[in-house]
Amino acid sequence: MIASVAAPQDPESRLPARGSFFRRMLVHNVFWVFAVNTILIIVFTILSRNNTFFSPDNIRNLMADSATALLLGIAIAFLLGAGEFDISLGANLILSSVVAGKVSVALQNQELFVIVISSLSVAIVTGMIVGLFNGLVVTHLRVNSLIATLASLGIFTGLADIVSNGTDVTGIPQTLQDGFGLLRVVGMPVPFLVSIVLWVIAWLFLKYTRFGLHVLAMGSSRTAADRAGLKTGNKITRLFVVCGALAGVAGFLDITRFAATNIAGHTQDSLAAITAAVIGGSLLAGGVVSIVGLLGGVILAVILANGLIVIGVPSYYQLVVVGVILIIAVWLDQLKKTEKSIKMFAR
Amino acid sequence: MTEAGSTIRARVPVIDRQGARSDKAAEHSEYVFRARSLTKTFGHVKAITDVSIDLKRGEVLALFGDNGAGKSTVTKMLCGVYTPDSGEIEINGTTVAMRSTRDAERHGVTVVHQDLALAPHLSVLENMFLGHEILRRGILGSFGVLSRSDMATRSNEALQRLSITLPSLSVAVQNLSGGQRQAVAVARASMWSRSGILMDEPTAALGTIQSDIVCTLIRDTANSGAGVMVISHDIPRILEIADRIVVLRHGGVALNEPVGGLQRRDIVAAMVGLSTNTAGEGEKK
Ligand SMILES: Nc1ncnc2c1ncn2[C@@H]1O[C@H](COP(=O)(O)OP(=O)(O)OP(=O)(O)O)[C@@H](O)[C@H]1O
Ligand SMILES: [Mg+2]
Repeated sequence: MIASVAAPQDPESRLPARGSFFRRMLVHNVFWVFAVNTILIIVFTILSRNNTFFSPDNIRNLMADSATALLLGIAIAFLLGAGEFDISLGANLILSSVVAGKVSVALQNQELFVIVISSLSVAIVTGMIVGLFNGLVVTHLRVNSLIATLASLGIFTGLADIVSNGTDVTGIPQTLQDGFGLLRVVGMPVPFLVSIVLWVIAWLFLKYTRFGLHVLAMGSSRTAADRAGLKTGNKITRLFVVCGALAGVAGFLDITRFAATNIAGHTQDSLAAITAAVIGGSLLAGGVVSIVGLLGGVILAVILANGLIVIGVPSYYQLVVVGVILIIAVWLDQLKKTEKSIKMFAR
Repeated sequence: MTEAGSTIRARVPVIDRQGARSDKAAEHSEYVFRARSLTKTFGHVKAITDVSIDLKRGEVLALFGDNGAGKSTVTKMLCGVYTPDSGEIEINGTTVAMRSTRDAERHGVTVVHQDLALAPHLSVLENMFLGHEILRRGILGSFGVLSRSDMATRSNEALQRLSITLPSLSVAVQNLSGGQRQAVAVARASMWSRSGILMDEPTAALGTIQSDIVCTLIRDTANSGAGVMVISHDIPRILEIADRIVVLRHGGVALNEPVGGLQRRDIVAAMVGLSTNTAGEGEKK
């Protein structure tokens, strides 16, 4: 219940809870996502040789895998919540990682601290510029965000290729990997911890702040938000910038993990992020965001991708599975809408 | 059309003279707004021509008119959604230029839009405070952390004042009935209004009982000291609560009178343009 920010069970509630806790859980995405995750973990553990799927090493793999996916998921959840789309997040990640990679290569003789701060800042700034571009095209040129970010998906993937001459940036300092990407704190990979900290912050902001409320208000009814005097154009632009920054952080985390960029490996990331958010209970049409559900959705994607490899299914099956899950997610989203349409506004 | 137009202009100065006669200082507190000679064209469509209209505090003003008569356009000019091509709006004795509903709010006037303009996924509380959120004090407040308990207290007060009962402040607006939603929109408008509320067809989508509830709300709001301007097609029901009637026809004022002995047929006559007849009747009083 904590998960659904749009229907908070706040102290001001004078309504007795409808149905038992269990019955309310049954209609909640978060419950189902985590239930499916648990089942998948059990199945993959049984199917994998020596139960390696559930080994500490593989769990750390899963965590590391989910870091970038979670960051893009947070970005898309906020944008969907505000009634906008962004399918250029993957391209943003790629461009940010390429630019940050180049910077870290240039700084390879510096100390780890310098390399981390410089390449992280460069990645964030790159991400923010991409986000600002998207935001301005959407709010000032009034291009629908689906089309706008479809265009910038091409633009920024192309730019990344131009910057990198079409090949992955290599020679990224080993210290970045050893001293950050593969570093463990309390047994967990640092990139994962970074993404979890940002996830908690995102959750707090969505649930407790005016910013979160305004995001949901804009997604729920843009007219209502306008009439209430919110400067919606401004807020949407800023939201795109913040989400761009998250993609930038994701780009940075990506190079610290592999000590190389992975241009080809992130083209499907935006779709995966949208899938994770929608599976987790955020509405495609906006107004409702579930940050807890998002984590479940990200874990689901990561478990599937990793699990299929661990049990020896060729990796291209993943694409099929992710596509199918996206359709299921959108179908669930549709179901929620029809259930709600009964109670929707009279007009 | 020209005939109706001349009738309008004949009647308007009477109101103006009455206004001018009253004491200046009293007038400031007495009127929510006074609009003079408003005109608005959309391309070649003359939506509003030379409309003068005012609203007193404590008064329910009913604005009638056929479809396309210009009621919504007038309302939108009065709340800052449209800027008039010419004419002026005076609030508290000074001419104001409003560019948004936020400006109107600053001058004490709020609107209940025909489509209510509520965010369906947000709770009653969140809708009532959207754009007016109360933040926590101290460091949390600087991060924009909301003080839901403060907002709940104030919402409950506002709802109580209007005798509105809702199942809960945390229920999403989309889960309320049409009448409850209307009540939320009215409560929201009354909470942020200091002098007047404009309502565009507040009973259009409601059943008999819910319409009655909203009408009672309107009367109560006026009785508590605010001026309320109501647009409606439901003439008999609004006649019961109105103090004054303005009828618009083809973008001009066809009738502007205290409700006195006005009957439904007088209003309909003014709406369809049998205004000479109605005007004659009106002058007899
Ligand atoms: N934004 C606009 N652009 C062009 N024409 C407009 C616009 N808004 C209103 N009009 C025209 O102005 C005239 C008055 O419209 P308005 O909406 O004020 O009527 P109304 O009295 O509110 O009617 P209804 O009872 O149907 O709501 C109509 O002829 C309408 O077509
Ligand atoms: Mg209208």
